[in-house]
Amino acid sequence: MASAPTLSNYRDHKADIDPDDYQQLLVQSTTLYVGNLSFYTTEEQIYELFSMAGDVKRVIMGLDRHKKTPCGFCFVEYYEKSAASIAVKYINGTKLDGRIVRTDWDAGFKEGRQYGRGRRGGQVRDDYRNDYDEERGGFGGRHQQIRDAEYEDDRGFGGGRRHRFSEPGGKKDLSESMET
Amino acid sequence: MSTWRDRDERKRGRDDYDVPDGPPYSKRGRRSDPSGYRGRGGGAWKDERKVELSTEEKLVSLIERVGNDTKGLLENTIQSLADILIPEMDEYKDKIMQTIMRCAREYSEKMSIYSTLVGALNMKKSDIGEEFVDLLIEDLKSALTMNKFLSVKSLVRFLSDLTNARVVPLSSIVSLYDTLITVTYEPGISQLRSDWYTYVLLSSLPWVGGELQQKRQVELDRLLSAIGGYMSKRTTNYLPALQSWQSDRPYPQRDQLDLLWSQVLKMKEEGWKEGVLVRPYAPLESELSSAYGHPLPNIIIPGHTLDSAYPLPSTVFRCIGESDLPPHVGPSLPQSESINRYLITDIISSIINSHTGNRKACAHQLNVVIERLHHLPVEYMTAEVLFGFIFTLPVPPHSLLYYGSLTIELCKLRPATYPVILTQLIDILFSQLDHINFVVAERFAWWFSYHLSNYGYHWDWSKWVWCLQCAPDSPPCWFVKQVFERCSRLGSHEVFSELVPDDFKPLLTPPNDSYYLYAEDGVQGFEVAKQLVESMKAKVPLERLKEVLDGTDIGNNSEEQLLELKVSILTHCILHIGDKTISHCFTALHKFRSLLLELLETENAKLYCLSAVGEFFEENTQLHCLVIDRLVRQELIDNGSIIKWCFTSSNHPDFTSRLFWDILRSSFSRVNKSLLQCEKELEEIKEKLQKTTGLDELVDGTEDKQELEWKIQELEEKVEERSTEQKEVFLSTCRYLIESLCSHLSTCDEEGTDYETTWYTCITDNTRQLLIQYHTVYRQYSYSLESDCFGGGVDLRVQEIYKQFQGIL
Repeated sequence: MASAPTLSNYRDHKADIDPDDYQQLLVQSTTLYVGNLSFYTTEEQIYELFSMAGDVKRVIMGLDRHKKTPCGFCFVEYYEKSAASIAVKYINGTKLDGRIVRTDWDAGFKEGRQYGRGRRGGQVRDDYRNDYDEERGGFGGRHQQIRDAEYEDDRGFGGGRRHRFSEPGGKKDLSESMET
Repeated sequence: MSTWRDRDERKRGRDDYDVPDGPPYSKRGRRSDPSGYRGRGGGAWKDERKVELSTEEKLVSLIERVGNDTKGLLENTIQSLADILIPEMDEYKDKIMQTIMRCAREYSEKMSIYSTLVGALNMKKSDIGEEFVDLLIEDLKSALTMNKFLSVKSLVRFLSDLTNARVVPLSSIVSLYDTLITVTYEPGISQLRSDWYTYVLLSSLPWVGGELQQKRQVELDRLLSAIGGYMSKRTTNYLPALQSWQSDRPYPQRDQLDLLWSQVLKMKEEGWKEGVLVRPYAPLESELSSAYGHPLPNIIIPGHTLDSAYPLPSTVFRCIGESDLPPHVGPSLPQSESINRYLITDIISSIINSHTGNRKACAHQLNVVIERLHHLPVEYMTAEVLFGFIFTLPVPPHSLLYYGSLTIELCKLRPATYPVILTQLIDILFSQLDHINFVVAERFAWWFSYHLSNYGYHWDWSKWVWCLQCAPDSPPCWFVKQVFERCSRLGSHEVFSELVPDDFKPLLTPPNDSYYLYAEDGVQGFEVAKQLVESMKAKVPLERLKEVLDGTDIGNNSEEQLLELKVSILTHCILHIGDKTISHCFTALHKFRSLLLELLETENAKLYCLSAVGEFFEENTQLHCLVIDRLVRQELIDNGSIIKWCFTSSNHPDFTSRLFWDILRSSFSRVNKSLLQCEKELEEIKEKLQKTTGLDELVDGTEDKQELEWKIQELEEKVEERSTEQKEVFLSTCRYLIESLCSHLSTCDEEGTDYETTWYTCITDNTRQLLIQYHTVYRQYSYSLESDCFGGGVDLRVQEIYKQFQGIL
């Protein structure tokens, strides 16, 4: 059935785990990887959509390694496996905030995985994109340097929706300030 | 319209295996891809594997797709397939048989094609037919003992249809039917049990009614009069609790079994004719009748046990009639009491029920049916059935997301027609909101906003402008508000509100906001709160924070008032510190949990905390609900207190709001799940213990055994505790709801005003739904329910709710 996670197309390539153990983790998992989000999609929106499948335990926003702002992916962890399986089956390929999102089984969140692994701090895929995608920071890495400048003038680049979630005054800041 | 159809035709032409002509498959599995595709580089292996199907996979695929191609004579195609399968039987018999059985179940619109296939196989080698029947009987027996009701239905139907393909003799089916009908004679059983077996029988009759009439008229008449006798004595007083429409407008919503009985009687009147089923065995009759039929053994229906949870009664949802359809298709819509309407609806529902794992495959299969029966408005009926699923009371059989995402797939497959049909049905439903059950209206609002969010929120609101003239609490206004609230949560409030026309803007909920009570000087506790927030930000140790909080002073007031203030300050400060995103909020709750825990010892303290949360999130229902859930999961607040707060506090949410019912429902679900979880753990450990006792000779096993026994004791206490909580939560909610209803009724009676207000219907509909959704739980407490909740003094109009609930059990 759909909970045969061997079919998961997503894989954490940096996870230093034996493939068999990795499959075992997927089988037990209640965590999803969610991709192709807009940088502007908020945690609240993610909760709203994903709660339709069942109670959500936590959402971990994927962040740009350098800027500490959302970079278009997240992890959603459920309390129950059945809820996660509903989300994989029925949310994958539908839209959130106007974008078709991708949901796949994940072996479980580990600290550090919330950061983009691309050269520029975001996701690797944004380093190689050739198109202009306003909701994912404009051009992909290859064109960024040449073309961004032109666009910044006439499109009010970055002047659209604002991030509600931005790390410098955000999560990290909060956890640091609360170290007792 | 021609474009998508052409495209689809082309696609099917390419994909489909042409059974009679082309080389059916290559036995050695040689690649036969005509495009000359050469795998190259990474990822190519995937495509390569797709091309190189094994023989077994090819056989499965042939069986799955038989009859999909409309070219050529269907009976010839089936015979050719049988010719292909016969020589493979030695090697792949099990796989072939299993596939045929699975297909007959999953592609119920093609069931008769598979019956004919089995008939053709049986004609050539009767031992295959015999083995097949044995397999079906094994399946039927296990489905009966394991209470797999839907499988029972499809197996009995398949066996019935196999009489048409001369695999099973007619006399066997008659005795199977006799066995089914005897269930209705069992004394003192639940109506649910006899209903189900009668339904299985009636739903198979359209396939064999004609044959029986011709060849076994006496037996058929006897059977029908037995069913008639049963139908006349059963009661359906539960109907109002399960109907989406509260009146017969726009369309009567009848009991499923009742309606099917009328449909079968009408079919009989019309000489057992129908216009939906494909019956490829008919042209092959002379050949098939030479085959040997295999009598069925006696089937014994297992008696009623406590575990047999029969399907609840259901109703047939209708929202389209002839006049709702465009003039050129309207007349072809089968009448409500026509058997064709049943058959199409049943085909659509079975496809939807059997494809829950793959919504795309489901949409594709529905599309096949829509195209095959193009002379009937099947597309309209598909939309109607899907709404029926979403609106099912008490709860839909599968996740609402399944039906929602399936609708999106159908829109993708039929972009020229399906969205238009949906729009039309949405308008019909909206115009009839006055007659719709509240719970159903809420599901409608859920689905509509979910659907809109997938299509950029494009909707012509202006055609609904009339609803702005209605009272603010009237169903249409309430509905639009609900949709707006959900849309602004799913999309961003900023973006969505720009899309709403100006005259509708008053119905928008304000953007999510929080209210920090201690923001300004002059409020009692301002100083302490200020200091507390600063200390929290300065990473001061928890003990120090506690000292700050303990510095709260309110002069001569009582201890209780001091506690109330302290809880309020602490709760507000924690929420204020985390007031950025949901994660920040949860982190803060986690961080300062121990401080709250110390304060929240009494029930009153918990109520103060809930009130503070209510104040803080008055304009953020999403976080309000999430934070309450988190407080329970962190064991700071218990579900009983939540219920009490919902009904007694001064700032409880409005009873007609989504928030109120969301909070109640999530409490119910938490209580229920945690009890089930405990019971499951206990069961597992007990099983483990039993296994160890078997090996009691092992010396080192004794210690484990002791440990297990302790664990069992611990869990048993936990189960006890949880079931007390369950009883308390479920019964007290019920009591509060009934009290509210009764006091409303007596006020209205005194003042001489109409009692059927939006508020009243909202509460009755939700109460009924909760009772039925958790009927297995409530049944355990039926004594208390009857005496404590619906006891003597309760208004008769409210007692009606209980009668309907009892009717279902």
